[in-house]
Amino acid sequence: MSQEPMSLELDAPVTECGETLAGTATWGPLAEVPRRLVVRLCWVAEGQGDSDRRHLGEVAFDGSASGSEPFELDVPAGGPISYDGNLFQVRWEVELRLDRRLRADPSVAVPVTVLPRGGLALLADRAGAPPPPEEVDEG
Amino acid sequence: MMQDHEQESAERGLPVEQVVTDTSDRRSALTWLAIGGALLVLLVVVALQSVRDVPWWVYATLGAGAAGSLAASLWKVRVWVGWGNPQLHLPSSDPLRLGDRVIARFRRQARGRSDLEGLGVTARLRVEERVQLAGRANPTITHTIDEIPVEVVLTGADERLVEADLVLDVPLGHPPTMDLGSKQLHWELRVDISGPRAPDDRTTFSLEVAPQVSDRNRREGGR
Repeated sequence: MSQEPMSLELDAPVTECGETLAGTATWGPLAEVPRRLVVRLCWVAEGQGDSDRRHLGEVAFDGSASGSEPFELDVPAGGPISYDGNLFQVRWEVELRLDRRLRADPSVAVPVTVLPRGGLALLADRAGAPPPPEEVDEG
Repeated sequence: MMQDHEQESAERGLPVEQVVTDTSDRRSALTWLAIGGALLVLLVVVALQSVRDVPWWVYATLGAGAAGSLAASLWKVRVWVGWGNPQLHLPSSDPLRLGDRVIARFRRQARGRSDLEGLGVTARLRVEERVQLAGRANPTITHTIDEIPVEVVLTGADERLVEADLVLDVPLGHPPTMDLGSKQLHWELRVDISGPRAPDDRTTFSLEVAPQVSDRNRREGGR
């Protein structure tokens, strides 16, 4: 976990294959201005055997001591989806990394849940329609 | 070959959008044939050396191994020759989706068999995790998540063809196929033919299931 003041905020922590993941990266004030800041989408497969990690897209911003930038990353239509199985697990995360010259690159990551396409609507249907908002008597 | 098949399929009114074939019988027969042949060659080489110190059990072991392998290859060839290449016709070229219910047609040429009376066909969908471990032998460990029975309607079994409709239900709660390097989520369809007189036969088809909920379930809200 990074000691640098930086954070990631996603518009929604759950998404679907083939959708766009949006959020905001915020950093600073940093003691040293990095060369650039990189937001990456990646999945990690862990469990039995070797771990596999793959970066699927990234957005880079020019280095500055502080700032806040919105970003969008595409989740591949072909998956994989988030998965917790018996032999292995697949987890997705968005990572914000400071690219610094000749020094370790600190980073923070937030988890994302990736569902099959159509999974969100299915979950909403199964959970039932949300109750109507209560009327507020402003008088 | 495939063109002939597609033409025949079209004539019979079958969907030809996606045809999955399996040639495991042929591969298996050739493997056993290779093992038997190698052992036989070794036996001949040892015999030609005419070394007096070779004990009798070396000849016996090599001979038995070669005979066993050749017999296995002949048995596999019998199944392979007796049954034509199995084929699975899916109604669409697109991968299956979670929640799908599709009717696939299984076909296996009988090549003049006359022993098909009382023949039965059963099928199962198998969902499996596979992990290939590092190391020289690259062992693979597997875990079966589920085996889903498939409804089978035998539509024909004569000396030309064994044909059956398979009702494939892809459950919503299961993960789609995934290929993550050393880790895979694998779907396969196993079709077994068995009869009182015909040799038993198993065919395995690999299937692709997309990370997508079928339109049917989206319309029906997952019911």
